[in-house]
Amino acid sequence: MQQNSRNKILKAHLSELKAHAIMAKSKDDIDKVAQHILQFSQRSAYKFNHSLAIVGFVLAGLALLLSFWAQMDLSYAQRNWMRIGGFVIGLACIVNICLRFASVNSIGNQLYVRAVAIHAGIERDYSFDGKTYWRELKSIFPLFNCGDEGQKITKRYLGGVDLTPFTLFEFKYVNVTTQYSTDNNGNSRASKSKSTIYKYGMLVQFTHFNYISLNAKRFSEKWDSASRTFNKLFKVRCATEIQAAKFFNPKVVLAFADNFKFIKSMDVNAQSVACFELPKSIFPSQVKKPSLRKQADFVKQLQHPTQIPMLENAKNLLHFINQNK
Amino acid sequence: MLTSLIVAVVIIIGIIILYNQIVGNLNRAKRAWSDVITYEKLKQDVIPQLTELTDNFTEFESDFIHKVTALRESISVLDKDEIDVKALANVETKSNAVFSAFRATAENYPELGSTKIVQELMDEISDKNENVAAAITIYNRSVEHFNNSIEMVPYNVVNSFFTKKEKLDNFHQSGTVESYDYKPNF
Repeated sequence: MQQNSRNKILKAHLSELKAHAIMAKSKDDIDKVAQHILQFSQRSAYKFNHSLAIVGFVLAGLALLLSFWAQMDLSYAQRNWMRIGGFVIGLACIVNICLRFASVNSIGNQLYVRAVAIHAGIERDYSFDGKTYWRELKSIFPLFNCGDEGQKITKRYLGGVDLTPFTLFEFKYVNVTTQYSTDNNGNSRASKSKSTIYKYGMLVQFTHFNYISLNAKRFSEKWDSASRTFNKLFKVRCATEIQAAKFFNPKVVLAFADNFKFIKSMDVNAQSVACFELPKSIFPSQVKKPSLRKQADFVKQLQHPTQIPMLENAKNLLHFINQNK
Repeated sequence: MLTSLIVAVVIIIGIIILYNQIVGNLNRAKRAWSDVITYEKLKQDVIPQLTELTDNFTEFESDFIHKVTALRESISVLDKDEIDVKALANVETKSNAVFSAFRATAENYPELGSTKIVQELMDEISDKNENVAAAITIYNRSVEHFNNSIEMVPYNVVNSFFTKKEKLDNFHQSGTVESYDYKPNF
């Protein structure tokens, strides 16, 4: 009974943490959660009591073994039911244990990612429909015009640098490939294979910066620099060559070739909205997360979360463009 | 017979590709040099403002105007079409002398340094110097790439028989490494 209540208490506590992982807005909120975790860890560990599931698993295993014992006076149908029942109950017990394990990890991860995002000055945004948003972006930027099915924006973070607002996005799509094969009897068969792909990037609202794209075919004019490294990394297209030459002075070329080589592509529309495709490490969810099971370490890291180097680089890039455009 | 013909064709195509790469690399280095000169000459834009300042403020050293004149003369010698790192080094030395003297005077006389025109001029000088430094870095990388392309096998064979290009000199600022005890032995 006591063990049952321990699971209930832990479950309720994890629900609270999950709510904080969604609602936390500031460093103070995170500090409060950290205190809450410390208080809870003094009373109980972040481990579910799996006794019932283990007993269930052992009994299911026994039932399965007995169903194979010839000296048991059971009919064929009864043996089958014992095997099916034993297998299903045993599997359910294992799944139950795994889900409980995963729930602790998952909530710890969500909380830590939230802390990292707050530390980086960005906020998770849930107020959008992934499919509709994807359609909207697809009509503006060709980057989103890919995949065969399941295209949608799965996550979005909002932030800003120098009064320049930006949106981090995670774009998910599925590529479907069909392979045709013919067997020895001459029958042809089509098999489909699906691969899920994620793209990460940043949408930025600049002012008066709508004349250059990198590795994107937005404009018809091409421009290249005197730097071989820069030209290998970026294919520049521009509204007019003079605008590109003015923006890409040697200082800017060198900075792009040395410091901002992580940019996969940059596209801009007429309203100066730029879409950067960036490595996945820009997303807070990609950072290495501590385990909630080690409370002391978790709380310490929660209060002093790691930086996202790629996001800091991207912020420097926006600052640099604002200064030099 | 056919095999010999195929081998000959492959060799000729190979030579053409390597030849074009060497010429392309040289042209890129020349373009990088041209950028250096362009941005170096843009420094002349600030010279009229500097001389005007010198006329208006007695705080400037008496030989400041001579340094400015020397810089102007050295810049006029630079040629976009002819790579001359010694002339560039001369310009850089003179430009450093002028801008260092300007900065030192601005720092020594806060009432002068805090004026808007001096602040703006210092920002402009700093921006131009950064661009020249970046252009020189790009030039040096292009030179390294070109030199590699005429010295490495099999480019060196094509160069010695066909393109016959000479190694280019890297730019380095005099007075920066001469005082070091360590001397590389290459």
